Amino acid sequence: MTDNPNQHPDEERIDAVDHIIFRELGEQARLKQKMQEWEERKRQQRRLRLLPVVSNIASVAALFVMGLFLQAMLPDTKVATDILPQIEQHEDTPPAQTTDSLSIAE
Amino acid sequence: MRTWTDIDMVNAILRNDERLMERCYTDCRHYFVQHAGAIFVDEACAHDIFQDAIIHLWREIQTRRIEVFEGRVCRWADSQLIPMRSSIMTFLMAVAKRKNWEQVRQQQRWQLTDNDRVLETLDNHRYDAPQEDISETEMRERVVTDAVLAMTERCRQILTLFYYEHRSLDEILALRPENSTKMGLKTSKYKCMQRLRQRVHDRFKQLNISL
Repeated sequence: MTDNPNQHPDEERIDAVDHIIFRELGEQARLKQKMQEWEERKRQQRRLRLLPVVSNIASVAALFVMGLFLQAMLPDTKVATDILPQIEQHEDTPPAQTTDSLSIAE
Repeated sequence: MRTWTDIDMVNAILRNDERLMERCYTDCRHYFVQHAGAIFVDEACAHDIFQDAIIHLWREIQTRRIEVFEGRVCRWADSQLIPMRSSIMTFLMAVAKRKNWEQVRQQQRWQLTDNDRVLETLDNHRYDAPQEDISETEMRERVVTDAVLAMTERCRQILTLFYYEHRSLDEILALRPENSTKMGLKTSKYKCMQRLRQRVHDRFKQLNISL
């Protein structure tokens, strides 16, 4: 209630009700603000949860692109088909005896 | 996954446990988004309705219209505490549905009038009979809570911006392009406040609540 002696009783009554109304408006607004904060936090959490997934996808994609790039950079795929059999053939032949091993055998 | 019970939620709101309230809120929001699609067409509108439903629930608990009694969530009805038959989620959905219906009704009424009159829902069924063990102060607060909740979103926004956030009419005008002129906004604010006061006073009189 107000202390103003000139105030009409009706006005005084309205002031008392207004006081409750303003408080209620404030409380509801505060709760709404809190809800907005919770929503924002939830969105951030979701973003953070998605971040590792996105980075994993990005690194896999980067590796794939790098593979494609390397493949394109190699002079010819014939390298693999020509050299590999030669290496295999080389591995199959027995190693040549060294002079040291011959002297020991004698 | 939901890690709280209805009793936890009621206690969290009563104790103002923000951390638990936040968890309850996000779970309820998730449930609402999953199940509300069929009911609410407009997503932004559904979001507002959900928040209003939460405010409604929060107030019901704060004013002890819903409380935990003998290990069960109960609600005052006909001056008796009766165990709630539905879960808090179901209760929230019911409140949201009712609010949605109110909005649809309001929009229909808005379409009927072409002037800038402030129309509010006349929703008297929400008021429960005063309980004997509830103080007059509590009853007074409940009436005001209900009256504020029953206001249109437009009115609530204008009054909150003006009286709570202490924004000037020019600032509100910039925030709310719906209001074309400052004078129109001023009239809207005045009428919103008058209607709110009137509703509160009428209800006080009806319930024999002194001022």
